[in-house]
Amino acid sequence: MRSIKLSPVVEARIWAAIIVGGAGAAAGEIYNALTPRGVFSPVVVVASGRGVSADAGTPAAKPRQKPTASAKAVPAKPRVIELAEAQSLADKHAARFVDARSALRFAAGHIPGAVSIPSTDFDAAFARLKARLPANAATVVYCEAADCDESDIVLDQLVKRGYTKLMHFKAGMQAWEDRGLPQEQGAGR
Amino acid sequence: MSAVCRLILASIYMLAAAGGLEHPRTFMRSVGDYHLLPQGLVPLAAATLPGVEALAAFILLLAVFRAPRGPGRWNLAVEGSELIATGLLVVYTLGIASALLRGFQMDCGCFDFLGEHLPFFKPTNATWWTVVRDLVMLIPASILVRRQRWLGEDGR
Repeated sequence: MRSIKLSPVVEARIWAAIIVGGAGAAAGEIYNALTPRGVFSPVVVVASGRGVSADAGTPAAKPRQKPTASAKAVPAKPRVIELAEAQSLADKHAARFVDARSALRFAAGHIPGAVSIPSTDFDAAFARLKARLPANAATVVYCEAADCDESDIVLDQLVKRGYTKLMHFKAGMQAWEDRGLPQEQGAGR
Repeated sequence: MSAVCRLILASIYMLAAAGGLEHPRTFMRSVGDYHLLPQGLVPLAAATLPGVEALAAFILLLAVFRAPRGPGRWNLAVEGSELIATGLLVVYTLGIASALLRGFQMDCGCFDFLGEHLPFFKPTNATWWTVVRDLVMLIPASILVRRQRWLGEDGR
């Protein structure tokens, strides 16, 4: 069998690619190990039994505090709800559900009655659905699972637009699906 | 010509890396959707790829302003980055094509996060148009790799 003999220049170039790639890979690993939302960040378990990203700033990580008079000027922080409450709200049609995942994931299966406002296409989707989402109505936002951040992005945008009764179903679609709860499919209205 | 190709590739990879670094877990889900890697390797790949893309893009961007002149470490670093940029594009193109052929529907996971910052940007699913787009992106990459002296300094 004939062996392939590379010229020293080609060998050096391939080694250079390996070294640059290795350095970049190491940098990526370190970044992900250090960033709170990195793929290696530890996950803490909350009462619902679902994992929540160990982000110090998440509402779930902090004890709830009674609102004070001085806090009135600050926009209300979305309340984190768990699966049982999300299911109850959906069953009673007591809140509007906003799916913050991509349109494709929404179409594959979503909480019945939910509307799709992907975090990556917020402005266009919100403009289309604004009339169906009154700012003073109870609104639940969710994404794929406890570790996703699309719902955080959509919640931030809704808070900026004056929404006051926001809830964050942090365990998301994965918990809904794991419980075998009904889903709707398709792109929605 | 090389500077233009390097600038194009650096821009593409900086944007791609920024998405993976800004939303590591969403990126990880996108990598998993391609069903190319064992589940255990998906987090490792999702953590590694943006770092490799970012470093290669950074070197290519520096090379736009400080082109390598003759053999040397800087020249090797730039040529290595060009190889990485080309290799990753080939892998991504084949990965998307393979997933589409196997009937998977998925988010591209490429530049979708741009929609959060640029309202006019529309996120898309991975389709055959994505494959065509990647093939177009391969043009500047292949120009750069072809210009490398693969026969050695003495032309052999």
